[in-house]
Amino acid sequence: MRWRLQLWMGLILAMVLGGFGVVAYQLEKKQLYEQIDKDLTERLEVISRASRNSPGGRPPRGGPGRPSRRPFSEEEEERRGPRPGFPDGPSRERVVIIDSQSAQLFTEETGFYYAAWSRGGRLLCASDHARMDITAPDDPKAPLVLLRTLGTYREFYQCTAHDSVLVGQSTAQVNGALQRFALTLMGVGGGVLLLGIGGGWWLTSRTIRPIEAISSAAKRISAGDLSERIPIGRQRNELNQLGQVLNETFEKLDDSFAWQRQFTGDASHELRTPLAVMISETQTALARDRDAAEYKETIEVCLETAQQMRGLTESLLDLARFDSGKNEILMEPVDLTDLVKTCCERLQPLAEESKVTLSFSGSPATTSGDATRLTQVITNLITNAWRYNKANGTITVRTGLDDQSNRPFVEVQDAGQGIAEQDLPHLFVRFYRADQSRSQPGGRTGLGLAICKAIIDAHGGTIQVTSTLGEGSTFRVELKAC
Amino acid sequence: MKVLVVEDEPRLRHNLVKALREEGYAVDAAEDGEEGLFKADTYDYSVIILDVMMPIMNGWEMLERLRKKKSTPVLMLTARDASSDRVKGLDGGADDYLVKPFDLPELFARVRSLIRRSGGQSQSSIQLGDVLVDTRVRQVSQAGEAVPLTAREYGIVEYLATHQGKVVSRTELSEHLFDETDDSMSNLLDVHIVNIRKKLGKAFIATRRGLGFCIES
Repeated sequence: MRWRLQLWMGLILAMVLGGFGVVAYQLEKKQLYEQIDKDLTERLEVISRASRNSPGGRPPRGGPGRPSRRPFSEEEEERRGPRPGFPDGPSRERVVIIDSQSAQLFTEETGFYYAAWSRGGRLLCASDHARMDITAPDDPKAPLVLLRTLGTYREFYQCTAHDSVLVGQSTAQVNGALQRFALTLMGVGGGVLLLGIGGGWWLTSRTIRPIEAISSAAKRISAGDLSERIPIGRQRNELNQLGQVLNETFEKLDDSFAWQRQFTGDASHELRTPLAVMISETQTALARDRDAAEYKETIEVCLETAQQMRGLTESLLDLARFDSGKNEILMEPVDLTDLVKTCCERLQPLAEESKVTLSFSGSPATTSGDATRLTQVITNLITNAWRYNKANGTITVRTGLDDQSNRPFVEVQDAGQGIAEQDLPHLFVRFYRADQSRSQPGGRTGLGLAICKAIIDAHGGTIQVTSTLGEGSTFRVELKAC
Repeated sequence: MKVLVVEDEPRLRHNLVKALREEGYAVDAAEDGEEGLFKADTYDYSVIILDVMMPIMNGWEMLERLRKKKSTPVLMLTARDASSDRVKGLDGGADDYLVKPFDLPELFARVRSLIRRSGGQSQSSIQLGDVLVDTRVRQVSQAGEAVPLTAREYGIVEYLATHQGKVVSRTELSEHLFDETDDSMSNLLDVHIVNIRKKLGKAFIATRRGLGFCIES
């Protein structure tokens, strides 16, 4: 990632610098040429004027005002040849005189040169340092100021009625300057690019460092150390926020793993204890010869223990199926009042046996759900109320519609010892018992309320408990309206 | 030898008491940590078999509180087998650790080993002149011949043998040999001593008047 980031940054920087360089170069070039063109136009104007003002006769040789004039010999003229269509005549005698002031504009130092031709194409005059292969303009008829570029020479020319004049300058100097400018641009650009890449490296390192810290912490966590956390800086930036979110996720994972460990530990404890009973019971019985009654007792203990284990295994399977969502809950209309009443009637003998008063009151309420599962919940709650009740206590079962939410509810109230406040939140946790005693006889698995909660959750309902120590507890199930 | 079983699961407690009694130990039982601590405080047991998860006071807590007063050998019995639990148990002052479900013969072997070690013995048999006490099979032989002893008689011989050279008081001997369920008839220490002397010779057990009994080393 660092390299890719660096590469992209370098690329973008190079593109920006390149674009900037090209634009600067073009602007500079344009400006330089515009300057040349302006100078050339001015000079053309001067030469044109000189040409117009020149008399028709040949000026005396070596006269003043012709310092830069370079007369052509006849042979040269012959070589250059007369232009077809231009009759030889008086124009042959025509001379263009450039005064000294104007000639100042065409010194060798400035690089400007001029030339003038007669209509016939004969060279009338030219500055000394004009390029050797200078020729008359191709289209002498055109009255306009025209531009031509021949190699490194830039020339402006104009054809008047009598002759054509031309001024020019070698662009070699300008091109040289431009080349130097381009080199400077490249040098500066390269420098800036290197600086940019260096700065970028520093910046990416700084940016990547927390990411690396996060990834190494995550690596340690994935290696199994769930207590590991990502170090978070004090600033409030995106990475710290990300770290915080990840830490919260790890926290939850850690909790859930801890819960899982606790659960498997509890489950194995619950299964190991009855196994210990069975093994030591049978080993004791087999240690010596015994009479039939003793063997019978051993077998009874083993049976009871095996049944306890069966109940536990079934409950565990049931919960596992709820966890994985494989337990199907039928959703059909259920007469809740009737269902609760039937449960109470079925459990009445149990209550009477231990002199506990079980009373039921209910107003009509219907819900949608699984009658078998709801019966399981109600039976479990009433059995719990009976088990944790005091002698001659009461169990009050109420059902109906909630005054406010209008949702059907069932309430099971006992007059037992109540549940301590610190135990209330954990009551529906698997294997949680208020005291640490385990492996209670009588088929208690420590999973009853957890299963109740799983069933009610699957119905989309809620199960709650309120309790006062010494006075009793009330379990309240609220279901969805039909 | 008297053993205390502290275990909240009633069937297991009942079975352990029965099995240990059949092995010849005097056995007391407690169903929670509080009762266990009270008994462990009150009597001197040879070994305490202690369950970890119990109501009212769990095994760790009971062990911690017991260790402030006594160094009775403790065998922890638990269904938790994570190594951190073992470390906690052994660091907490437990002398041995057994994970449920256990085999009874292993439990007996560990109890014997704890009793031996607490008496400063490392061998499972004790030689006293021409008398050999084999604690592993609970047998006494004289000059290579097995001497039939009752469980009570064997208990007295073993206790005195593990404390050979020391004078053991009547009270201490009764406490280690008879548990809370023994009736007063089987409690007659002198009758047992007479019977042992009949079987192993008069000089085997010496009486220190007013102090107790002793087997000379």
